Order: sequence, then structure tokens, then C-alpha cells
Amino acid sequence: MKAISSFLYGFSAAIKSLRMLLLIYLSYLVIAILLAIPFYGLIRSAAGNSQLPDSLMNGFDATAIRELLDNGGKAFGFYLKAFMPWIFAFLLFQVYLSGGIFSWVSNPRGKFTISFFHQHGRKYFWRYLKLAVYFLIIHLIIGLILYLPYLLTTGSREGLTDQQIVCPFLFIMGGHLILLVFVFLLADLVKSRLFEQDSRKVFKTIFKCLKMAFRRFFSFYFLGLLLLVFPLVLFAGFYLIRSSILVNTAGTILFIFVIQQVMIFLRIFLRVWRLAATYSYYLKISAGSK
Amino acid sequence: MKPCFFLICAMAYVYACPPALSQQILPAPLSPRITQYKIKAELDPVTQTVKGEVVLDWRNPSRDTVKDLQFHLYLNAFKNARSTFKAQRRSAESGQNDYGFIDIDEVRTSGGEDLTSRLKFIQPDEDLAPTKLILPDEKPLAPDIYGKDQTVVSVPLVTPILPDSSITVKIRFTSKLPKLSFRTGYSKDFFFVAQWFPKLGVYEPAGMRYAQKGGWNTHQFHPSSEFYSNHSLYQVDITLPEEYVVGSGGKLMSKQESDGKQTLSYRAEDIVDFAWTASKDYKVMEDQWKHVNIKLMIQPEHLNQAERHIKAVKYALEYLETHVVPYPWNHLTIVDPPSYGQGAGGMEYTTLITAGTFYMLPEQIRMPEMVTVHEFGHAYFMGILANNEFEEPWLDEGVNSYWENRIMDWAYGDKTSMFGFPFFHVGDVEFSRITWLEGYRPNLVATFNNSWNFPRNTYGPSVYQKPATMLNTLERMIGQETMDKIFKKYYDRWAFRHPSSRDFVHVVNEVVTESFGNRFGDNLNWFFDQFLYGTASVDYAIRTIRVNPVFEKGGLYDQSGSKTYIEPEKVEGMYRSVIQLERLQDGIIPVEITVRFDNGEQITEHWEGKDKVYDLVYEKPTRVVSACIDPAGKILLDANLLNNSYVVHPSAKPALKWTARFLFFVENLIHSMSLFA
Repeated sequence: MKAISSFLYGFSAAIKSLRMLLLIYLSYLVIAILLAIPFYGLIRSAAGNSQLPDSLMNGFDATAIRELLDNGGKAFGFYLKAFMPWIFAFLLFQVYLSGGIFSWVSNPRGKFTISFFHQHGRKYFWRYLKLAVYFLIIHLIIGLILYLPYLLTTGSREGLTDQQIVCPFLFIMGGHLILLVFVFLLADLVKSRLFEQDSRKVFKTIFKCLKMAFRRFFSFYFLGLLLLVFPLVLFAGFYLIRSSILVNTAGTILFIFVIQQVMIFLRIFLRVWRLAATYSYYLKISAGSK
Repeated sequence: MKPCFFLICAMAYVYACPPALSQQILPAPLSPRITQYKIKAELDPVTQTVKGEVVLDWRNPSRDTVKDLQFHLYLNAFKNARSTFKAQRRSAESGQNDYGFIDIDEVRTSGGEDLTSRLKFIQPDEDLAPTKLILPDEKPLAPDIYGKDQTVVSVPLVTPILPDSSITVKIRFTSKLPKLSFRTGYSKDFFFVAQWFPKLGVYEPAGMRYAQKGGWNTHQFHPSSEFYSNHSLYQVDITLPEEYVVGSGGKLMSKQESDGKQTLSYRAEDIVDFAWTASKDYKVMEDQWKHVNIKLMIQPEHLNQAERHIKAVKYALEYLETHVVPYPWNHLTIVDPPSYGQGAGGMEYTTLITAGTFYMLPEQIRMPEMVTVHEFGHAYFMGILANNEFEEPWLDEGVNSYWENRIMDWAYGDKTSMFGFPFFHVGDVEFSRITWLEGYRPNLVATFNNSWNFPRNTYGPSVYQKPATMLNTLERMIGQETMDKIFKKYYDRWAFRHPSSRDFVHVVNEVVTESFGNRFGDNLNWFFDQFLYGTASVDYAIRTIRVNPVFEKGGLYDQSGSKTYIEPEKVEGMYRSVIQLERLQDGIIPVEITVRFDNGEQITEHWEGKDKVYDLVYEKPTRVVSACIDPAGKILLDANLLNNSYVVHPSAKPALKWTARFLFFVENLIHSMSLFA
């Protein structure tokens, strides 16, 4: 019941967060536009006055893409290499956003202000960054525990059929995905506790939350599964719409652009929903344990 | 139609007869059957050894008196580091049992002469070793790399063989199979037994192919070389433990079991090679296509892909029957090796081919189909023609790749035949072209070359994809109907006769001249000289289109002893459009150019393509808005298609579409980092 009520609370908190959602969405858009403008220039200069890129209007065309990359390849390669630091920057940006989102979901009835959002984003930045690093290490350890024995045993055994190589891997990967639902939700639970307690003890908080999660394992995991449903529905719906439309006119380009932006907005909405639901669940279980 | 109908009737007769009368599996020999092999062999799976005896009949096809017999002993390529094969690959095995060899224990003539002591290993390629290293960082080969190889043996005869006479020799041999890494050998309890017996070379009389004088054409085994042998009659008895499931390139005539062993008797007619396989794990499925019995030997974990293999081979049978000739044999075995025996995959032995797939491979990745179609195609471009794969590998691999491209695109779609996902799809013809162009230095060496002369990383693109692209270009120039005529004539003239590249080009010239007169010149030698025998590259480009108003009258004119200046007058409504074409590389092919004007008018021009720069100039009331070289996309050899067209005012839509996609990708990437934040 706690899982369901938290799930519903999360939805109502996210619904009330339209101003915050818009702020986050616009920040994504601005960053993406800053990177897309040089990309547009790159494509235009690689294509020059050629008619060949027109064939890309009808979808994927291996020959056209090969010709474009061959002619603008070095520039594209350089662009992609310069992209790598951006991924790190995106991670830092998301760490910052987490604090701001929690400031809102902890009190969704209040008035949203950018300064309040920024204040909490700054305040919790280093703690959440530490948390992100710890969880990256946890993911690495989980990966090693799950995959290393498999790699060592399949690597050392000769004469395995491809089925004998693939099936264990799929089984392990399936188990890994099931475990990931728990691990990602645990990270959100830890963030909730750090926010609620205004604590700086990240490492200790992880263990406390782990204990809390195990004590209520089934309800905690059920919340994770509930929070997975709508993202999957969203992706499936987007794929269906996208694959049914041929984007080869200005009108369809614009239409699909709008659909894509709606999807991004909804992804942000789902994230706020997830954090709000986890925060609410944390409050319920910590109240229960007092 | 006729030969096929006759074949079917003959088959009906053959199958209706009691077994004793149906030893023959084809109604009549397809080839001269210069060689006939009767082999009795026994496999010992524990020692991975095949001991056997072969009775070989050989008829001297020449006017020469032949003083020796020369045999290929391919398994000696796996014997030690001194073999040409191992020395060129610089590879080593991990244990003694991983190496392989073949020993000739005894050779006797039918008259009882013992020739065993006369055996001597020879190295026919010692003088043919490449001396010039083409790549700057290539390491020189070891000095004796060609001098110690044991893959060719000469048996000098006591009594030479006179013209048109025959000889029968009985050879006892022992073959130790290597650990399977390259076509033949064992892996666990899987055996693929190829190139396993002493195989006679091909005696080329003077005038055959490039032979100036009669002699044996037996090359040493190199890493990138394949094979060359006569069409033969094979009668092979194989004995091995009864729990093994066996497949071969022959038709099973009888099976006997006793004392835990089985003896299988096979017969194969007019094929160039006899290979067989044994494993305890095979699942066998049979199907029929017209006169052809198809046997698929598949791994249990790939059973759900069986239909993919059978469908692919049926497509190939149908297509090649329609466009070339009917498949002349009445049996075909397709082998799916296990993953630990993949070294045997992707190979052809005329009526036995090896495919290859992977567990749970999606249908949209058409690897098993492509490999099956390609290896089956070798039944034609090797099996029937039997060109020399050592000296002219392109004639087999490149020509076959061209037909594989055609069959795959016809059967599975020209944009989806290799990969067929909605978001990523590639056809076989375009895949060939892309693979060649993206290969290492695509035009470094000529396609027409001995197999061992290709520098590192150039063999595949030069021998497979480039000639396929070349033939695809030729087809688009002369039409598919003419191309079919060429191959039908090629087969008619050269089936079972070991043609050369020169013979193929000769047929092309004959048919093209018959069909088109001198539209392509006196012959197509200019095409093959550049792209088969040479290293020419093609790249035509439209450098620019300039459109300016037309002016007249302007300038200084002599009037009454002085110069009078007259202002230039713009000719209203008239424009001068100049299209500047360039030939950026050394390859020359006549091209078409489509020019479009702003009133919708379209003109097609022809350019011989010889000049380095060539202008098209128009003074008209309309302006040129775009031009395109080779609008029909015939010249697949053109290395850069991006510069083949020019639009005065290009549309921004493609760039906008892909930028919008990129923007969406970036937004998703930003958001995905939230999982870890």
C-alpha cells in the first residue's frame, strides 16, 4: 500500500511541477541547440551543393551516409571526440538538478521559484556528486560480480557452442536488469534521506537506506516496477508513432520535432514523478520505523 | 530448358532402377573425367587421423609425354613453421596435436612398380615469390619461406605416360588432421575433412589458359590461395564409429554397420573436390527442389534457422537456373559447423558447402542467407568452370560475389538484403561497394593477380568486392539481359574446361559487340584494362554551376578612325549557364549527365569522360538549376557519389531533418545521465 500511495503521490507532485518541468526542459533544449548548431553547419558543409543528401529524406540510406561521412568524416570524428567531455558535463548537470527537484517535491504546494531551485541544487551538489561516484563504483562491482566469472569460465573453456555462450550471458543480463531496478531506486532513496536529514554522511546513509529497503524488500521493489511501467509505455508509444511516419517534408519534420520534444518533456515529468514517489515512500517508511 | 528436362527424365529413370543398376548418378558425364579416384579411408577420432588408400586413374590430355605426376599435399601446410602457409601467416599452434600433415606411405603403379622412394617435395612457387614489398611497413619474408614447403610432391615415373594414355596408381596415405582453424581439421568431436588425400594437380597442355608449353600447374598452398583441380569421378568409402553422422559432397550409395563401426560408400561425379564431415551432433533435414535433393546438416541449437538456409539455397537455384544454366548435379549438402568449428565455415566443395550462423541471430541480419547463397554460387563459379583459384582468384570469388549480390538483392530487396532493420538497412550490391571503398587502399593493386601477391589486408576487397562492383557497373552499362547472355555463352563454351580471365573477357567482347555494335568502342578491353588488369580509380565531379546574364555589344569599336565605347547591353530574359565537370582520377568511363532548368525542362548529355575538365554551356531564356552525373547510378566504381550532383540552391531540409534528430539525441543523452546522478 505504501508503494501505491507513494506512486500516486509522485504523480500528483509531478503534475503540480509544470513550471519546474518547463525550466528543466528549456535548459535541455538550450544545451542541445548549442551543440546542434555546429552539427547543422557540419552537415551543410559536408553535403555542399550535392543532391545526394536528399535521399536521406526517405529514411536511412547507407550509401548516402557513407559518402557524407567519407567527405566530412574527419570533421565528424573530431566533433564526436569533443563530445566526450560533454557527457561528463551532462552528468554534473543532472547532479545539480537532483537537489533542485527535491526542493520542489518535498513541498509541491509551495510556490516554485528559480532561486529556490538553484539554492538547493547548489546546496546538495557535492553530496549528490559523491553519491553518484559511489553508485558508479557499486555498478562496477555488481558488473564484475555478475560478469567476470562468466567471462573467465567461457574464456577458458574450449569447444563451447554459441548457445552455451549466449544463454548464460542472457540469464546473467536478465538478472542484472532485475537488480538494476533495485539499485536505481536505492540511489533515489539515499538522495531522499540525504535531503530530508540534511545529512553529509553519504556512505553511512547508503547503508541505512539499504537496510530500510531490505526490510521492506517486496514493497520497495514493487514501487520500482510501478515506476518502470510508464517509461516503457512512453518508449513504446514513441516508437510506434515514429515508425509510422515518413519524415520527408517540412511539415513532417516539424511534426516529428514536436513529438520528440513532447517525449523529452514527458521523460522529465517521469523523472520528477519517480523522485517524488521515492521521497514520499522514504517519509512513510522512516515514519513507520520511528 | 532442354538440358534440364532431359536431366529430369534421366533422373526418373535412374531412381526407378534397382540399386545395382543405378551406380551412375548422372545420366552422362558432364566433364572429360581426366581423373578418377577410388578412395577407401578410415577415420580414427581419437588420434584425429585418416588412413586410406586411393586408386587414381589419370588420362594424359595433352600431346606431351608426361614423366611425372604432381600431387597437392595440402595438409602439410599445417605441419610446421616452414610451410609457406604457416610462414606467411606467422602463426603457431598451442600443442603438438594441433598440427597436421599428410604422409604418402606407398605409391605403386597398377603394373606393380614401387615409386615410393622416388617421391620428392618440390616448391614450384619458389621463383614466383613477391620480391617487391608494396607497403612501407611490411616485413620481408623469411629467406627460405618458399624453399622448405611440402605441399607439392612430384612422383617421377619409371614409364612416362604417352599422349592420350592413362596411368593407374595406388597410394597409401596417412592424414593427421590439424586442429580446425582454417577449413580442415577437427575440433572436439567435430571433423571437417577437406584437402585430405593426395590430390593430383592439373596438367595444362600448351595453349591451355596461359601455358606456353605443357606442364603441371601445381602451386604451393598459401594463406590466401584456394585450389585448382580437374573434374573427377569420386568413389569414396569412409569407415568410422557408427555414432557419427556423416555428410559429404557425394551421394550415399550404401551403408554397412558392424562391430560398432559404419562404412559409408559415396559416389560423386564431375566435381573438383571431395570433402566430408562427421559429428555426433548434426541434425539432418532434407528437402527437394526440382531435381535437386538438398540435405542440410545443422547444429541442434540452430534448428530454428534451418528454413533460412533452405530458402536461401532454393532462391539461388532458381535464380541461377533462370539467368545462367540449371544446376547440373542432383544433390547438394549444406553443412552448418558448430561455433567451435567455425574455421570450416563459408567454404565450397561443389556439391557440399559450409555455411555459418549464430545462435538467436535475428532474421534481419542475413548472414546465413548470404553465406549459403555465396557458397552455393561457387558450384557454378568454381564447380562447373573450375578456373585456377591460385592464379586468378577474382574469376571465382569476384564473379561469384557479383552473382551473390544479384541473388540476394532479388530475393531480399536491394536495400535490405544484408541488413533489414527499419532504422538500419543495407543491400548486398551497396554493401559490396562500401566494403571495397572502405577497405585498405582500395586500388592499391590490380584485381587480376596471383593470390599470394596481394599485400596485407587487400586480398578481400581486391578479389571479392571490387570485381563484384566492377561487374555490377558493367551490368548497368550494358543491361542485365546482355549480362545474362554473356554468362550463358561463357558457360556454353567453358563449362568443365578451366577458363581464364582472358577467356571471360573474350566472351564479353563477343556478346557486347553482337548486341551493341561499336557503341562501347571496338570492344570492352578499355574497361577491363583499367579496372581488372589495372588500378584505375573513377571519380567524376561537378565542380560548379555558374549562371550569369548575357550581355552583348559592350566594348570599344573602331569608328571613323577613333575608338567608340558602347555600353554592354544586357539581353533581357537570356542566361548563360556553365556547368564545369571534372575527372578527378585516372579512370575513364563514358557518362550521362542530366541537366535541369528552372522551367522544368530536362536534357541528357553524354560525355566520353576523357578530358580532365569539361564544360557544358547553355545560353537560353531559362537557367540551369541542377545537374547530375550518372543519374541512373550505373557507375558504381565511382568512388565519390557526393560530388556527382550539383544544385544551385540546395535544399536545407535534409540537414534540418538530421539536425533535429541530433538535437533529440543530445536531449536524450542529457536526460539519460540522470540515471547515474
